[in-house]
This record gives sequence, C-alpha cells and structure tokens, in this order.
Amino acid sequence: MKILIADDEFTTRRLLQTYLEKWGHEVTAAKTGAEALELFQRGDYPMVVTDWSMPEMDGLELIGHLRSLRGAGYVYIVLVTARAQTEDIVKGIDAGADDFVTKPFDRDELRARMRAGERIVSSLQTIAELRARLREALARLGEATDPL
Amino acid sequence: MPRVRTIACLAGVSVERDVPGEQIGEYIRAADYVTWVDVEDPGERELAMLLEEFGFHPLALEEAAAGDQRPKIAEYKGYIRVITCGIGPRNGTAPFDVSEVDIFIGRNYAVTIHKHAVPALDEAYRRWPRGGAMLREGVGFLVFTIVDSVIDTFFPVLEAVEEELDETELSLFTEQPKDSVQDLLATKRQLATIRRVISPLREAFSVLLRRDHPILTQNTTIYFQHVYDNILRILDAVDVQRDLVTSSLDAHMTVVSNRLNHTMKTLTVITAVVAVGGLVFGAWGMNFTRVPLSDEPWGFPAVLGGTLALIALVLMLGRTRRWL
Repeated sequence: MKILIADDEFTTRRLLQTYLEKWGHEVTAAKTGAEALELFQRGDYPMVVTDWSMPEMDGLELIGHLRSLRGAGYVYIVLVTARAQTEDIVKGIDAGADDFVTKPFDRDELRARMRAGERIVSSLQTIAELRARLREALARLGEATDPL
Repeated sequence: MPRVRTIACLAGVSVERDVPGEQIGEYIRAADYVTWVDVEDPGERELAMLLEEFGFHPLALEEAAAGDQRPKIAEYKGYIRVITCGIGPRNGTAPFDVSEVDIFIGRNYAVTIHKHAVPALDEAYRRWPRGGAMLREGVGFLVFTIVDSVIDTFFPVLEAVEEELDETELSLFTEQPKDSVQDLLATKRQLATIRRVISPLREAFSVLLRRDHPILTQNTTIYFQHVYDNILRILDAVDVQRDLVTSSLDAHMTVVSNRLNHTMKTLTVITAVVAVGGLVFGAWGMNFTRVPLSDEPWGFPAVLGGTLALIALVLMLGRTRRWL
C-alpha cells in the first residue's frame, strides 16, 4: 500500500520508513507538512502517517487540508506524536485523524494499528468499487429501459 | 535452561522487542539506541555472545553466570557492573528466595544476567517501554527501572514480616502462647538476611553517587539517588523491625517471668494449706496417752473445725493478696 510519511525529525522519519517498507508498503517521506501536502496532491496515497509538531504547517493543519481535498477516496490518517495527554488525543482525532500513536511507540503495536488501517482502507476501496459497479449497472439498466 | 530476551528503544521514538541476536551489535553501536539484553541461566553460547558483542571481561561473565556474589559495584573500561539482589516469595522451607541480578551498564545498553527467573525483571520489562518521555533519557532510566524493580521486591516481604511480627506480639499476651519465641527468632533471622543483602548495596550506591563516571549523566544520578533513598528506607524499616523483635523478646521474657511468679505464689498458698492441716493433724495424731481434748466428746469436731478455720484463713489471705 502507498503510504505518505510527514515528520520533520530525521530519526523518526527514517525509522517509520524502515518499518513500513519492511512491512511491504511503498513509502514516500516528507520533511514538512507543506511538502507532504504537495506530494499528496501529486500522488495517490490511501494512508498518511504524520507527526503533530512540524515547522510551517503542523500535523493538524495538514490533516485539515487533506480532509478538505476532494480526492479519489478516503485517506486513512495516523497521527504519530510525543503528545500523550487525553485532550491531545481528543484534539487530534477531532481534527480528522483516524488513529493516534504516542511516541515512543511500540513497533508491534504500530504494525497492528497499520494493519487495522489497511483493513479499513481496503474495505472502503471495496465499497467504492461496488458503488461504481452499481452505478454502472443502474446506468445500463436505465439505458435498457429507455426505449420501452 | 538459557533464555535471552532483548528490548530496545530506538532514539526515543520506537520500542522493539526480541531483537535478533545477530543484530544486537548493530543496535549497541547506534549511539541514540538504548538496548536491554536480559540473559537467564546463561550457557556457553550466551556467554560467548556477550563476550563477542559487548566485550565484557571473561571473569566478570563467569562470576555473573555462577551467581552467589556479594552486592557491589565494579568499574571496568567502558562499562560498570552492578551486582544487586532482590528477594522473591516464599519457596519451600525457606522464608524467601534471594535472587542475584548482575547488571552490566554501558553508555547505551544494560545487560542483566541471573541464574533463575526473577519476576522483578519481568516487571521491569513491562515497565520500561511504558516510560514515555523518560525513555529519551538514555540508559539511566533503563537502569533505574531494573534496579528499582529489583529493590521494590523487599517492600512486600518487609510488610509480611511486619504483619507476622504484629501477630506474634499479640499472641505473647494470650493465655496459651504458641511458638512465639520460635516465630520471633525466625523473624529475626529473616531480618538479618535482608540486612546482609541490602547493606552492601547502600555502600555500593553511595560510592556510585559520589563518583564521576562518563556513563552516569546528571539525569542518571537523579534516578540512582531515588534508588539509594529506597535502600535507606528498607534499612530503616529493617532496623525498626529488629528493635521490635528485640523488645518483643524482652516482653516475652517478662511475661514468662510474671507467669512463673504467679504460679509460685499459688503453690505457696497450697503449701501453706497443706502445712496447716499437716501440723494440726500431725500433732493430734501422735501416740501420746494424753492428747489435749481427746477426752472431750466435742474434741474432734473442735480440732477439725479449728483446722478448717485456719485453712480458710490462709486461703483468704492468699486471695486478698491475689496469690490465687
């Protein structure tokens, strides 16, 4: 699965990239929120993993922009941050994040969360495909019933 | 059976468990990684791995594998070896198990070696990754988690000893005390064992806190100070309980002495009663031809009545003096 990472810290970015690539994903990394937004608009990323605190555009702003874009489908966003207070989790999820991972995170836990994200993304993709096929079928049905 | 488990915190960002043995060297070479290798009952293979990857002194490794060392801190080139002891729950006839844990502390790693399973290390293994922001403080927080978990094992044992002591103290003053002295002496032995184990640790940590060592940063010293304070608390508790045992033994001796005294008084009254009867009946029972009152028809009842009155008087005296 294509995943976009946004983190200004080199170590975190490198670790996330290493893990995700090891788990079979195709990863693109961005150093800032702005760069991530630009990369997102150019590519098709069903999953985004972003840090909260970043220069120029922080994680919440990035999530806001991603959610406002009318793209192909739903983007599953995981917020990875050192903030661990309940109010931060609430704020992050309210801003549009689908999952919240606190740094330092457990590798196995991150993997499980990514798997859960993948399941949701593939379910949404299946639903989107079925809807498209249904629309197509209805259109064909409309065309077939028109002469009658 | 040997068991090796590894957990590492990578640059304060992620936590990885069960790092493969062949990757340990790579992890300890990364300065911003903190790695903990826990080795239980090491065999030749595990010792060879530790020798190769960490370069520990072979004698230090041998000693660690054999166990049975006095708690101490030894400095080597590039690492420190801390020998700590924890105590576990009762096992068989022994009141508790003393388990030795050798900790080799390097700039960004800690290796723990122990002969038997140590539940405190399992606790530390669970606790350390949950350290949050403190995980970024390097090896200091890791060593603190390990040592603190090991030292914490003393507190439940001391609490159990305190409860036993309370029960034994109460039973001292019951009518039929059961094995109180044996219990007190057993408690005293347990406290002596705890003191023997913990006392060298106080000296070791005191030395470690006073000395500048490149491995120990300012942050680490704060954690070690906490451990040192806990050691002092344990020693204080042991001393207080030892005093309580001693005073309970004294109290027991006093109770025993009082009981003996009371028994002696009761026996004295009984002796006086028997003596009065013996004296009167002995005198009137002698084979003289003329015994006073022997010719009187009321002689026998008078002597018997008089004797009984004397016995009653003795009993009354005993009663009023609370000898009975």
